[in-house]
Formats: sequence, C-alpha cells, structure tokens
Amino acid sequence: MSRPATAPAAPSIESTGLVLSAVRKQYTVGPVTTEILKGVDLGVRQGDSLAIMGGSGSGKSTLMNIMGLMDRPSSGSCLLGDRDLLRMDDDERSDLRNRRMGFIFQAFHLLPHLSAWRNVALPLVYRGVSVLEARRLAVEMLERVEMGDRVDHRPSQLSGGQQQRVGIARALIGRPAIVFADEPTAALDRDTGCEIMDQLLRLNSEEGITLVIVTHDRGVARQCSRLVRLENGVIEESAPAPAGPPGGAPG
Amino acid sequence: MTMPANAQLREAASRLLATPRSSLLTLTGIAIGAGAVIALVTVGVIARNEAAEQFRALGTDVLTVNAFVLASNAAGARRTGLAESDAAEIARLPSISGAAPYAIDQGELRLGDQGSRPVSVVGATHDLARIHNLDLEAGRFLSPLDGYRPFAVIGADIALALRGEGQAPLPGATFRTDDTVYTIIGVLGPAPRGREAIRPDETIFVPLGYATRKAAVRDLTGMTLRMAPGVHHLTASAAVTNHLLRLEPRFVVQVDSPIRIIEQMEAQMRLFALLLGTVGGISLVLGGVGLMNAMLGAVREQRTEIGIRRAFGARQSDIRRQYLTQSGLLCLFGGLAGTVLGLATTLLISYFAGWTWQLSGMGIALGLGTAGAVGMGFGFYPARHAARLDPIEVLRDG
Repeated sequence: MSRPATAPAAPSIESTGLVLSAVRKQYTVGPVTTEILKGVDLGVRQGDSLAIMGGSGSGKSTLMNIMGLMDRPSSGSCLLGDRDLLRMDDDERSDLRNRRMGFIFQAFHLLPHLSAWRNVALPLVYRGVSVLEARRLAVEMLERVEMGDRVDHRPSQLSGGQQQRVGIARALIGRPAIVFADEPTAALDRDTGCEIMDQLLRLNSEEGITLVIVTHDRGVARQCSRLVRLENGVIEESAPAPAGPPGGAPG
Repeated sequence: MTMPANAQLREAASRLLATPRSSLLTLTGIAIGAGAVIALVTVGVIARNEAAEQFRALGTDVLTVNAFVLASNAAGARRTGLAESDAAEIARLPSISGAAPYAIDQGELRLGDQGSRPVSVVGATHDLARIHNLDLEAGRFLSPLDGYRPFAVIGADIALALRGEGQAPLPGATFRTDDTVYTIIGVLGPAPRGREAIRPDETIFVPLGYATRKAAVRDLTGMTLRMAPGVHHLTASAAVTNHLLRLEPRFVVQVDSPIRIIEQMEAQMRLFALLLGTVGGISLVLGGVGLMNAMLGAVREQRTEIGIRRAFGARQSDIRRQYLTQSGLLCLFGGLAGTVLGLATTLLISYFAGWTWQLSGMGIALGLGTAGAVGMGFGFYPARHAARLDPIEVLRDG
C-alpha cells in the first residue's frame, strides 16, 4: 500500500493532512442546548481512507461537515496543513472546498435540470474554466467512471448507481486532496454499492486522494484503511488500518 | 475565484428555462408594469405635442388681441372696440412687427338648389396671409386695392365643397352665400388645424372694408400680432395693452400668447404624465412584488441546489449573483416585452384618437429603467436570502 503522506515533501495541504483537536459543536434550539461533538481529536493523513461509523445522532455527519468546511465547530481547532480553518472567512472556505475538496452524497444531489457533464463540471464553473474546457474535462472524468456514453443524459434518465458515478466524477473533477462521502452506497443495492466502493477505493489507492466515508455499513468500513467510531459525540474506537490492501476483500 | 459573467448568465438562463411556466408568469407581470409605464408616459408626451402642435401651426411669436368696452361702462366712452386703424398704429410699436385685424361673421354657403353649409366670413387685410402663414393654391390673397368689393379668398374645405357641386372654384368664378355673390380671387391650400379663432379651411376671407361696411357692428373681432424678433411675449403684451388703454381707458384688453397657453398646457400635461407614470409605476411595483414572490418560491424550491453549489465552492456572492441574474434576466425580457406591449398600446391609442404617433425615448427609458430597478430592488432580498442559507441545513432537508 502506497502512502504519499510518508513521502518527504515540502509542507503543503496535500502532504500534511487534516488535524482536528478538541473539536466541540453545540446547537441551541430555544432553551435547549445540545452538544453534538464533545471534544473530538482526529488526524487524517494524506492518502488515508477513513471510515466514520456511529449510530444516528452520534455526530458523525456533523464531524464530516466540520472537516469538509461546511460547518464551524463551537470550539477546538482545525488545521489543514498549516492553515487554520477556523480563521478563514466564508469566501476562503468556499474557495478551499472548490479546490481541495470533493463531496459525495447519499442522495446523489445532482442538479436535475443539468445534463450529466454539466453536473460534473459544476465545481469548474466557480473557477472560471471556459465551457469548452469544462466539457472536455467533464467528459474525460465521466469516461473514467465508465459513464462516457451518458454524457448528455439528465439525472432522471440515469439509474441510482449511474447517478452516483456522476456524483463521483463531480467530486473528482476539481482534483481534490480529500473526498468526503456521506453514506455513498446507502441508497444503492448491494452490488451497485460494492462497485461504487471499489471505484472510490481505487481512486484512493491509485491517486492518493484522501477518502473520508461516513457509513453505518460494516462491510464498507472494513474496506477502509482506518476506522473511527463515534458514540455520543466522542470517539469510542479508533482502529488502525486492517491488514491487506484496501479494496482487496470483495464485498 | 468567482464565476465569470457569461457562465453566470448561462446558469441563470438554464435555471429559468427549467421552470418555464413560472418564469413566463413573472415575466408577464413585469412586462405589463413596464408596458403600462411606457404606454402612459408616451401617450402623455404625444398628447402634449399634439396640443402644442396646434399652436405651432401659427408660430409661437404671435399674440391675439381683443379689446372692448363693457356695455355697462359704455356711457362717455369714445369707442366700443378695435378699429382697422388701430392695427396700423399697433404695428408701429417697437415690440410688434405686424398686425392683422379681422372681423369674423357667420354666413351660409349656398350649394346647389337648396343645400347650404355654415361658413365663417372673415373680413381681413393682406397682412393676415403673412401673419397666419396661409398658403395660396391659386390666385392671390386680399390686397389694399380690393377696397369694398365682394372679392373672396376661399379656404380649402370651401373649395372642396364647391367642387363637389360641380363648380370650378377658380379665380374669376363666383359663388353665393345667403346674402352676397362673391367673386373668387384666390384659393387657399389646406392649413393646419389651429386653436385660433380663424380656421382657414372653412373660411371665406373678404376685404375688411367690405365686411365692416356690411355688418351691423363695425368693431373688429380682434387682431393677430406678430412680435418683433427676440421680444418676450409679456413685454409685447404689456406694450399693446398700454397702447390700447391710452386710446380708450375703459377698454377691457385681452392679449393671448400661444407661449403662455402652451406653458400652461405643458404644466398640465406634465402633471398628467406624472400621474400616469405613477399609475404605471404602481403596476410595476406590483410586478416587482410578483417577481419577489416567484424568486422566493424559486429559492425555496432550489434549496438543495443552493446547498450543492455551496458545497462545491460557490461563494455567497456567487449564489446572490445567480439569483440577481435570474431576476435581472426576467426584468430585461419583461422590460423588452413591456416595451413592445407599451408601444403597441400607444399606436392603438394614437390611431383611435387621430394623433400623430411618435416614439418617446423618455417613456421607454423610464419603463425599462423602472423595470430594471424593480428587478434589482425586488430581486435583491430573495438573492440575499438564498446566499445566506446554511448549506448543511438545506442539504440535510433536501
């Protein structure tokens, strides 16, 4: 298993990973304050594939949202390389999401009125890439996820597995360092889910893209190099990488 | 890094086209509002020009003068009204360059065996043709040499009526009124319809001497004066009034200037246009409320999309601009449709009112401008609302 994180590179976002320490998150609704995360310490190295497990309400989605710069913790620190994520304003966080991160959703979340390639090209739109270039890159990316023959299809004309492939292509087109996947296979049947997982793990191992997967599927979690189990807002269990190459075990 | 403008436009357009019915409805609201502003302002401008045109036919450097002594005040007065000799004196005032005295009487033009039509018989001098800008089609106008003879210069409508009876209205020919047989010496071309007491087309012009000798009352009906170049109409009015009051202190002198009347009318029309514009503005505001409602609905429907865009790197300003662009596009096309609608309406109104249609740049600018302002104004709140949505919340709910 190759880990680019171990390569002696100059400190950069890619080579130093994401470090969360003492992250707390609480919501106040009316008089009730609910603490979702109660001091989470977590480091993700470049090239990791990390599964976050936990029951509903355990805080796993909130944790991922904080890591993915979609949410801010109430306290604690959050470093991406040498950059303090909590000190960034909304525009900086948006730009960082655009350039360094990719997102894959349980409900696919494709834009229904756009064709497959335009969905894939969405992150490029916010970088000022020209339409022709964006289309070229999007088609290339769709071909990589074996969707080259569905470039102009609308999401409604695609099956769930195909939609998720488009979702993967969209997450990858910006050449992100980290891809966050929130229950990427939960809406798919077992076989399709396996295909999607294989694809994600292949990207992780072949391109060194860090993968953070929120799941409650043990089978999915087992394929990742690291496992974190959240319970009641704290990390209950942090397992190291299982022996053997990730993705090697079928199913 | 933000989204370039052309990509922004493309995104907004495809979003609007994705919900064609709602887009069309919103656009219609804006179009009607903008169309109303354009139509109302344009009609106001056309009506004002139409009214002012009536005076421009005669020119704006003329004055109309009338003077008389009230019957209750007549005892001891030397005179009861204007006389032909006054015209020559007034024409010599420094602020006046010419004077055309006239006496208006009514007559019946005999047509065929029993037919007749009412006409004006205006006693005038040769100055009237110049001061009233009358064009001759045949023959000549009145001259001082015509004295007291029953010569007539006939207006275009009179010539037409005579021709309709099989007569040839040419110089030398004769025609009858109820009390006189006139010899035609000149035929006038069609004159613009003015607001003055004299309507040349329906008038028989006869020598002033002949007219006053025939009439029971020998006073003039009035005179038309042309002012010397560069003289303000109030200066000229004052000079004429003073001159006449010196002649007869009991005179009631009336001096009318087209400029004064045009000014009054323009003030009225401005108020009118303002009022109409306000009505149009109100309908545009209603269109704006419709736009805001539609945009808020769109934002509500597209919550998930907004979350997705935010996740993939759209800044708040990108989202805000996306929805502002949508409002802007709706208003642009609504405004353009409204321009067509408004101009079509003014064409119809002009056609039925018999007005000369004209383009009012001000109306179009005002209509499009207000439509744009409404788009930005009423589109801003939904756009800001969209930009401030919490991406996590909308993605979770979606």
